[in-house]
Amino acid sequence: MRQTKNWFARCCNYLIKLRHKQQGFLLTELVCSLALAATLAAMVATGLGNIIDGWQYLREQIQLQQAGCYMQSILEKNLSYNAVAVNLNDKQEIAYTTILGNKSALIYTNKQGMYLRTVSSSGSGTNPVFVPSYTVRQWQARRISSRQLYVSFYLQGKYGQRWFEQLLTCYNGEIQNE
Amino acid sequence: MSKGEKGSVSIMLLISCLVLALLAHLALISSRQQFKEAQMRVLGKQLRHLNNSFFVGLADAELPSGQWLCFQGVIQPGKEAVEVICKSEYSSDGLINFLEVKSIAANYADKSGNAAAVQRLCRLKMTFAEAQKKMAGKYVLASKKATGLEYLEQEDLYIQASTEEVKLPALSFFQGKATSSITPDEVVDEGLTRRFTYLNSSNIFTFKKNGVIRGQSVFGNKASIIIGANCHFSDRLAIYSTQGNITLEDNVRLDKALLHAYGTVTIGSGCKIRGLIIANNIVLKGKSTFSADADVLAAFTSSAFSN
Repeated sequence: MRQTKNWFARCCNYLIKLRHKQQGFLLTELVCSLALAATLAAMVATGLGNIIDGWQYLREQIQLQQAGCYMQSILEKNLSYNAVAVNLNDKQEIAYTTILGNKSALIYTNKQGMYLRTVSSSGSGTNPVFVPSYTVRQWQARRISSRQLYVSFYLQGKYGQRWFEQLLTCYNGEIQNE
Repeated sequence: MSKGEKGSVSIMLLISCLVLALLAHLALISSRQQFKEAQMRVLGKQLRHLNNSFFVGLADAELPSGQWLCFQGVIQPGKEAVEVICKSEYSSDGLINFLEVKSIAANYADKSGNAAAVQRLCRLKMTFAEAQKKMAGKYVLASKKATGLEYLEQEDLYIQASTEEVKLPALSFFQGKATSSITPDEVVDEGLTRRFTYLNSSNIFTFKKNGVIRGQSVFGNKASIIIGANCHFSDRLAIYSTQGNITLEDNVRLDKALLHAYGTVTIGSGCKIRGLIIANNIVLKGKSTFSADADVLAAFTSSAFSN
């Protein structure tokens, strides 16, 4: 550090002397200024790049968190309150009958997305349970007890991923492994 | 730098600093908002878990009428003051019980900004009069008056009932607690809800013919009810018309049902009924198959629901 300071002081002294003698001062000053400007520009660009990357990562993490919470709230609503009899199969699919007698549903993952398929007397329909910008990975559903179900999944974004887990209590039905 | 541009660098710097300060402030506001939202989410979840754990503990208990403070304390994050209150209420005849467990966090604000947010879970439980329970295992038809008994192959399935035995439960207690709107199309499409249904309506409710209707439920209508021909109800069911009649068209199948009407229950031909039918007047229009079932008057508990 002291050596750098000495070197910097010597350079300054030399420049002052040159300026005093007025010999080639303009050229040296210009070159030094350009070098300094280039270094500063590079530093600013790198810093800005890091800031932008960090900002994008953070923004995506916030969005992933919101998307995950949305998915968890749908799972909670459907499995905790609206499910009467829940069946878990080997494909990690959750089939259940709802509190409405003629309506049943299936929660499953396909092509890195999560879907809810409902079947009633008038037909069936499928709705996504995930935000299409992010993919669902490593979906797991496990029976803990006759009333409790554990679900977990990763949400994968462009810059990172986030893990979600949830313990659901089925207040209106029992859970069975097929 | 020329004379006219004196101090221009300072102004530029000042503006840059102001812009940077503004951006930093915006970032701070945004992050605070995110933090608050996350905190609310966690608090909401905690409140739900707390509330629902008390509900699970109380749901099967026989509670007297009243209101109790089950828990008073704080939950994290933010040391939020919370109260869990349990309320048990009975209908005037004591046959229907409504249980409500609610948690109140004084300073907790939900998305709409309402203070004192509440997490609530409720259930309805219906029991039946002793006089009717006694009839359930032995008889299928109970009324003060009856017409067309010649169509009844097993005469001992009919009993002439007293006023006490044909008395309807205080079903209006369901008002504001059970589901209060449902259309015939929704019944065919989605079935009956385990949350129970009470329609305080002066319109006749019709179950459309040829419908296969599932769902263990109590269904009540103030006015009359018509069950269309060839309808099939496969789950345990109690159907009430509190001020009207119930009409079963031909070939209706009820696998485990209680039908109870204030006026007349009319039964078409070819019906297959397992359970109990109670009314002031019963009319048989043709031959049908009847069988008694004591379980049809076992206590009915609705699904847990939040209002």
